[in-house]
Amino acid sequence: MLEHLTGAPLFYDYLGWAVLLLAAFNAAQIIYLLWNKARVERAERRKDALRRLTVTAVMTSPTPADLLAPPAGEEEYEACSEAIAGILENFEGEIAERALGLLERFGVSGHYRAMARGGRWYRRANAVDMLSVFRLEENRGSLLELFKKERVASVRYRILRALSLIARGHDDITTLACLLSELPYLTPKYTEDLFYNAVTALKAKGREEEFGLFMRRIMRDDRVLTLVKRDCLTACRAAACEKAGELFRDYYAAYPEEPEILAACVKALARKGDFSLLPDALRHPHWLVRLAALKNAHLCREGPAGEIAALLSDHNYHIRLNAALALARSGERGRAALRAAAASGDRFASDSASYALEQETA
Amino acid sequence: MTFPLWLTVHFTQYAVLFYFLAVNSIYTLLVILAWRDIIRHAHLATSRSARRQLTGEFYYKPVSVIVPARDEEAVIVQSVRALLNLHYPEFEIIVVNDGSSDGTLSRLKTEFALAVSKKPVRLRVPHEPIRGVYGSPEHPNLFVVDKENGGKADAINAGINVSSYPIFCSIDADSLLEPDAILKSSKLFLEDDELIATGGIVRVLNGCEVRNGAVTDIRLPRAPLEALQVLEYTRAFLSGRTGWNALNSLLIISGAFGVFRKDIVVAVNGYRKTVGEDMDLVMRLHRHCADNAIPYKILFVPDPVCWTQVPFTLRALLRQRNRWHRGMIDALIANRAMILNPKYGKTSLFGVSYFVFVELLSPLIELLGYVFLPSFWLAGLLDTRFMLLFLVLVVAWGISINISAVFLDTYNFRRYRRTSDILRLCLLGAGEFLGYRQLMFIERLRATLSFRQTHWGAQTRKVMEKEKI
Amino acid sequence: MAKILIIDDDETVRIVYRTYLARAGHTVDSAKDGVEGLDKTAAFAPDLILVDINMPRLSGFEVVKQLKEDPSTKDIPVFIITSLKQEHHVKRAAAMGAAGYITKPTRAPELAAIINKALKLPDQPRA
Repeated sequence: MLEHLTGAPLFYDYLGWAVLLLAAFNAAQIIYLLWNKARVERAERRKDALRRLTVTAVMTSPTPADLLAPPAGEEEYEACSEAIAGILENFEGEIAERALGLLERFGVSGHYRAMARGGRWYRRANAVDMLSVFRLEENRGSLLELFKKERVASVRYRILRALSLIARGHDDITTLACLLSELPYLTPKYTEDLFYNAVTALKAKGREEEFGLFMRRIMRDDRVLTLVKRDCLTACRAAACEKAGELFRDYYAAYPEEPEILAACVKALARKGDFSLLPDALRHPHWLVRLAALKNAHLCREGPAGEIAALLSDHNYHIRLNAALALARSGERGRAALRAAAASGDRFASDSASYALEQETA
Repeated sequence: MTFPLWLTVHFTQYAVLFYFLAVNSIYTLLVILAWRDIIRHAHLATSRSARRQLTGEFYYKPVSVIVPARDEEAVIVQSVRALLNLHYPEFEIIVVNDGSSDGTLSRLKTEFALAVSKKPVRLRVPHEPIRGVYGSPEHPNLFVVDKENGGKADAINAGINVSSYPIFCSIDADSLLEPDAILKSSKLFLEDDELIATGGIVRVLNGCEVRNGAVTDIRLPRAPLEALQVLEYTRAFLSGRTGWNALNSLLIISGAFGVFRKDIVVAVNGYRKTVGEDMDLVMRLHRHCADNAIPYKILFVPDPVCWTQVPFTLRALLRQRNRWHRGMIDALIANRAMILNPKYGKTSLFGVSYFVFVELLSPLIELLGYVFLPSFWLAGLLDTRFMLLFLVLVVAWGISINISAVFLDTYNFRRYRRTSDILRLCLLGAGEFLGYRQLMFIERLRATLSFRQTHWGAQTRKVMEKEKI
Repeated sequence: MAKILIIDDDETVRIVYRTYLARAGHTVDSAKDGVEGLDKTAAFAPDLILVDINMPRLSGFEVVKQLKEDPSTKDIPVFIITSLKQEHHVKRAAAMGAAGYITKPTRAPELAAIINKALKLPDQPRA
């Protein structure tokens, strides 16, 4: 068989052609690479210059659009929108207003709305990301439309994120939750992020109680996942909602069997300085709830030191450790209890206690 | 000529030809798969999204960075300082002093004012006895574990037992992590609950300019030996590992930089005390998840970067390659249940088969190719035409693959900014065949032949760990 | 009036700060990362330094730390720029000796107030 190949009359020609082909291909790669490198570097320099120009224009004039040429190509839109996004992300007030004005005059938003409708999925994803940075309420309708038509999950998650940043009231958030339920549960962090954005957006408009209304509406709603409810509670806590105390207590009472929700409520209330749930949580059968209570116990001035000391002999390792740490941080009474435990015969209790004592002195 | 001789010559011809045809085709396929992956990645990793990654820091999972160290007196302090500088909201650094005979521990003690710590050690994976755990008062997230010598796998296990966080990252003591490397890798764990392990790119630090623990200028090292290794790493990482991603067959996460979910690693009983501990762990993770029907992903992500020093003397290089090859053989033997086993799907069919039939067999086939073929030709037993065909197939195509790897790497990441560096790499792509490949082949052949001997030499020691300290 | 150094990897931010502070009458220099920032501190000898926390390579914290460790620069007030969500940044920076913090998104009048207070200048009617 090989002789067939090597014996062929045009063998050397074939071989020659093969080598030439490979060599040409390689040469083409190298040349393309160097050309592309030069081209990309040039393009980047141009983009940098344009971005700089845009920012300077915004700083110089109240109507920067007068000083600049409207963007013509993709690259120019990118430079312009990056400059505007940079300003919007980092600054507020007059300069942000000017940037938004520029945005409107040049129809940047429209450009990205169009981009979000077609092309490869990563281009659509990028477009949605840009739209989310602008936080324009006028985009809400288009985003909702995009969500309905979009098939790729990754982009749909991004659309929801963009929507969460422009929430106006509890109806918007309810819509958000409904749309979210159409998608598989991604991760706790994503859901938390989503609702955190919504709460923060409402707080900025001074309508924090709208989120409370939404939370009450879903409290008894079985269509909303328990995990999602927990994430909403965590988002509330992260955003430091002023008026949510009663909400947390109501949720605690409503879900005695759900450790996730109970833990979230305990943490949220502790952050606001409300420790009414602590004694109950410390005795809860599920370890997650006890752990949440312990991690925040040290913030309470007159903490239930007796209860916590009892947990030093808990059968769960995390509980013992955190009980010891909580005692160590809660003043002289706590430390005295720890010293007693460290000297006691219970090995697990004494180990945790001595570790915690050492941590505190450090 | 006699029949046995004729048979030998023909067998050699066909074996070598078929082998190299297969290998180069596989590599070309991997390059194409990597190409697709990289294009997709390039569009997403615009500077805007990268920056948003950084500012979205509010949501994270805490990470334990485990650094096994043995006789690393010269670099350990600098390394730890660089790690303390990492861009991450909550993480701990656990340096494991694996029975060093030099001043590693004492340097750490003086530099960071270490004091004995009672951090509880949870016994979940086996390792040699721990002599002491230390903490630093001015850096509450730095811990140093002093233990008896047991090897790198053993040391990382000790680190796992001391760690408190759900994700851990194992890195070498002389590696340099980019400050946002952990951020970029752990973010993936946030977004996907099925992910159990990721590996990032390992790049060569030699020749680069480093200031304040950060790489400020990326340059190709001057010495050809080191520059050739740069080429190898480029080819291995970009075309090799990115391509394997698509086939769900990632089998090695470099020991220099890997991020794992602790619960799954504990479920497979941690690292096994062996030479090739990184490959062995990943294979066992594949097996465990497949056996227990756990949906999982193991990914290589080109974004996060770890810089490592490569050997600059030939002796050290050969020793390293010898160790790698023996480690691979050991991992394959220990996990032979995965070889051509339909239960493990694509991983077994593509990944494991590649290692068995290509990497494992390569020294033997290359022996035929580099030694037997030229000898036969010189003895007049072989057609000149065939030799030329062989040269084109192996060398010309091989050079082409090298240049494609350089192309892919530079196109996307543009790490070697100087044109002269890029051209020199391409030239080395050809130069590799003028001796470097042959040297590596010889070392791997030696490793294969001496495998049994050294395997018995490195006996696993009995684990006596029962008590907490 | 005073010499101010701004260290931030985002060029947009650098330009805005430069323009704004220059208009207020200060001499401004900027650096695009920590390493350059430390170099410029030595060369430019600013009266006030603003550092962004989220920077690649050398992080803002490391810059603050090195500034405070160096006897020639430890008395220069350093402000970190961080976003609203990162409370741990504020605590950590304060522990390191930073003079204060500026949150993103920043408002011009608040920025002016902070800077004037740090430099002990009277409040300007229109900053």
